[in-house]
Amino acid sequence: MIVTSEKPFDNILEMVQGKKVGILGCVGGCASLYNTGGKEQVESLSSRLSGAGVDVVFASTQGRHCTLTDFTGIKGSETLGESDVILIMACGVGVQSVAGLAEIPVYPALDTKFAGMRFDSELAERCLACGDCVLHLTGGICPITRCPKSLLNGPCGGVYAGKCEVDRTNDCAWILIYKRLKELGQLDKNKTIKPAKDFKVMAHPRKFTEAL
Amino acid sequence: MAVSKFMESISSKEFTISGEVDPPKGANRATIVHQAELLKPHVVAANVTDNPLGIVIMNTLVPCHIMQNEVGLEAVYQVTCRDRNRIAIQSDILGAAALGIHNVLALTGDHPSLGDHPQAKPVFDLGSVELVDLLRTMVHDGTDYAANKLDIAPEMAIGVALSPGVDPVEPEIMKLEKKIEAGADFAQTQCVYDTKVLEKMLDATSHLDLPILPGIAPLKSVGMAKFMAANVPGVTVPKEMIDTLKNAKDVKDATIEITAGLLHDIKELGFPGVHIMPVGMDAYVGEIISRAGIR
Repeated sequence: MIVTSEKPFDNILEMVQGKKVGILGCVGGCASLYNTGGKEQVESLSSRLSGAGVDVVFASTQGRHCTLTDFTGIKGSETLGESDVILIMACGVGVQSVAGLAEIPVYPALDTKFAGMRFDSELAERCLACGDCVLHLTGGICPITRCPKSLLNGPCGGVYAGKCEVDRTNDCAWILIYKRLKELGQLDKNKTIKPAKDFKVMAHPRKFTEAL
Repeated sequence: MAVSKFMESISSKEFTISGEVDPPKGANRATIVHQAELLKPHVVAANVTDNPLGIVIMNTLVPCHIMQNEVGLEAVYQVTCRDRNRIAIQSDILGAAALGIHNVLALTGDHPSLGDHPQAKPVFDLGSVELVDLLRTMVHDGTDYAANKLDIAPEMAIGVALSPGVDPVEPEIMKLEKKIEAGADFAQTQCVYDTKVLEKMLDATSHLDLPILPGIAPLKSVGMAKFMAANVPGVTVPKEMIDTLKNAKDVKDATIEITAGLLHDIKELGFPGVHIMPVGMDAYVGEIISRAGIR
């Protein structure tokens, strides 16, 4: 899932002050699952903006935008023409998807944080989309994402009592990998040197042709 | 024929002592010459650090060159993966080789978030194992890391680091095994204060064919002991050492005595040498060595 958080309200206000605004949530999408772009959040932002004197023309709580091909079925979209600006409560993909369809400016109400999941009480990053998955070699724990140095061949000298030098509240990814491989009887998988990563695979913007 | 005086000393089974020079925060070349001159009578070579903790100091290559050319002290060029990708690192290695640098220590590097420019983009195009692989390719295959031929290959001994006190130690040893497979010629370790850690390190590495020089840094105060134990991964300071410092009438003398004791133990345990990080006590390195009964 793509994890998002709402921008500071003052920043949003600065983008849309004095404009007629349409708001689109991302209902059924990642932003609604993580309570940043669902029905309640759209209604809340709409009422806060109205309270700050912004003319909110419509606030849609329908639709997911990363798969949007047109505005058909989006409640309030018939009033799009009355808006100066569309504010999107979705990830950067959703914002760009709508921006590619709309004739008026489309602005982000959220910051896109990372690809991750709910883990205990926190949302935590789990995939950097590096394009060359090694999880079969690392006990299902991603060293690219969970090690701040994305090390491929074991822990650095900064591991302190199993914790990471960058943030001591985080477990060292490589100690987790070591323990998990040991449990799985797969420590041999850490004995082979993993070659230097091919960052060509990560060169953005990436695209590929789907196999149909 | 060894590639450097440092490797020659290790190969000759002489007890080999390396030192360390800290590049200045600023353009002060005199401090480099001063540190190198103080160390020269006592060490075979001295490491030059690469912006440790991600704190901006002078480019490592420059003190390496000044030390070698003006003072006649051989350099161990420390290279980290924090700030440079494989292109920049290889370019630097070729430059170092042209300057006559014959020892390199391959390190992952501290994360920039620990330093004085935490906003900097961390590079880590390679990790230390891949860096050793890259260096071996340049030195032994005579090509760059993309298999393009070099007109003259660098001639360098390749060093690696080891944190012997970390718990669990097995992942660290597995990584050291990979570094050896990738082409490491020697290792220098993180600071050690505890003889028990030294004994465990000998035990954990007894199956490996690699000269390992334990690292020591004079313990200058109780505060430093506490700081090291709390902040440097794998470092434990025995209580007796802290008590000795606490009760000392002459703290400097106690520091020298403690460090000399460690050095003595390192030699007695059969390590091939030691890496001394003077942390400002460059002027006392000779006394530490002689009190250890080494010279």
